[in-house]
Amino acid sequence: MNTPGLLGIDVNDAKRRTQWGQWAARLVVIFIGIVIANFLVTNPNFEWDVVWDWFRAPSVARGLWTTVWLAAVSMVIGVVLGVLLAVAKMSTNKLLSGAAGIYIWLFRGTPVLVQLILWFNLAALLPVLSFGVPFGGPKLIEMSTNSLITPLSAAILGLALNEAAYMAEIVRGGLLSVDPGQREAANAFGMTYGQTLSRVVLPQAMRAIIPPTGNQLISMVKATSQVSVIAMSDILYTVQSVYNRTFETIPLLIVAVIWYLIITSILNVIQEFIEDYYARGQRVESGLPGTVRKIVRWARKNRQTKTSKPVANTKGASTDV
Amino acid sequence: MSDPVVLGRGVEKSFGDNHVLRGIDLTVERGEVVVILGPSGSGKSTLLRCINHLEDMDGGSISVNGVQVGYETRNGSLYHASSRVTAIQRRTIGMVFQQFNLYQHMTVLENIIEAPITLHGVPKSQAIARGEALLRQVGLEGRGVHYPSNLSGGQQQRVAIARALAIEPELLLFDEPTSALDPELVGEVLGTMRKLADAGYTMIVVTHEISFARQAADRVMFMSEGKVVEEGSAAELIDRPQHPRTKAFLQRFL
Repeated sequence: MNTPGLLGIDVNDAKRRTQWGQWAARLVVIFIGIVIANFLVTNPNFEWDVVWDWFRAPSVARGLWTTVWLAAVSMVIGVVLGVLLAVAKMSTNKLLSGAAGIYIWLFRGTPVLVQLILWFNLAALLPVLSFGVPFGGPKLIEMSTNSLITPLSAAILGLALNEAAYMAEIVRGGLLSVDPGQREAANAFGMTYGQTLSRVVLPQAMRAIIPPTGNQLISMVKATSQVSVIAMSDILYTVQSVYNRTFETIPLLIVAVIWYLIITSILNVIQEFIEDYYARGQRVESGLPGTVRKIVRWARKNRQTKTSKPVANTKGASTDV
Repeated sequence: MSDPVVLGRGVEKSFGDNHVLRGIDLTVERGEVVVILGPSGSGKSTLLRCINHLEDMDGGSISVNGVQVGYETRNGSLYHASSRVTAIQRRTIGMVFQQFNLYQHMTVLENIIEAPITLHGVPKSQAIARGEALLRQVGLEGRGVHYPSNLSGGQQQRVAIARALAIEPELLLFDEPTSALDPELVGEVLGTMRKLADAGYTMIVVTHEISFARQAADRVMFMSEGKVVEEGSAAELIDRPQHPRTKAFLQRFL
């Protein structure tokens, strides 16, 4: 037996262990990757040429545009309503906070698909919508519900009102995450309620609000696909109407899948930039957000390895492989 | 001298069953530095927070320069003021907190110029020039671009002091300004506060730092169980305490 003496051996000379489990996991992942790649390339039913043609088709582009701006408009309305609901729910006024609570309970407690169909069929409940003095008073504006509720307005109503309920909880959580001392300092210096909220509390709450809001926006992009049931011509409805005609079901669904992935990927990168902005004051290392930073670092490393040889491994990890 | 900045009479405050302030009288003259000593739970911080109405009091009255913060008089009757009016009444009172409470999302300089610009209508260039002068004054020249989280506790508290000075306060309130600091950082903050005392600011300081009271206080109040049990010059109260509770309290610091 090796007796190292009192001082022991420098740990720098310790031999690395071979990590069999790590290598087994790598092999499994590589194997599954090859199987999937093979399936994607060799299965003729994907009809990649058809996918490529429709991927660039103007009709698909119009559907895509509808999806994008429907998500954007619904999200903006949802966020604004959500902030108001969050402030109402945190109010000391019990009636106000109770009403906000009931709204959130109602809209979070029912599927958005059901809400969309309900809004679309509002005319069956309320044939005429009017604006004026309630309980039989004079009416200022009066119109039939059917002329007001189009697939578009039903889609925005359904998506935005539902979103507001989720955003309210996210905003409320964000506001509660800010140290009460911040509000106290703002109050002590004489900021009004609105100034305290907009200049001190909300900017700090954003750190907690942005990540889940990014998730919500991505969910919203996907949720817009449900408006196809009320004949709103988003990207899903568009590809469905094409394959109902041509029976190229799988290629057209693949087109939709690719476009959804492109939009959500772009949103991910934008979200990282925004998160980075609101992390100021908390961050030690400054610079570009995660994904972008990784890409930049990778590009730099590639450029370096082309010009210079990599530095020799000094850690004595030769037993690793 | 009789030009009181703060005049409090019979101040009462309870948190539920806990009777925190039991009829406090308080007078602070212009330019005077008053240190409030007392054991934890004696009501010192609550009293300080009643002065700028961060805490709602239950009885008595406090006025700052003749204004009862949080209230307004109309036709000889006293009304609870709206939060907007209260906010405006607070704008000449600077406050320094135990936990600094610097705005975490703003740089040091932004923290200092926030109130002057948004609340006092000071032009931005002027506010920045004054902010930089204040940073020099508290020994943090060139730190304006840092965020509070990158500073030590002592530095943060000095920024908080500069922020309070930026509004050109008629009155400065210090709520245990060194209690959250590591012992080796206490000195720099107390040093800055001594300079303010010498410069003639009107200050009310709630603290456990007997040495600060001895060096900077014009008057020391000793509170216990919601009452002022003893009051006098630093030399009188600290070196020759009369009341047994004051004696017991000071014994621990010898």
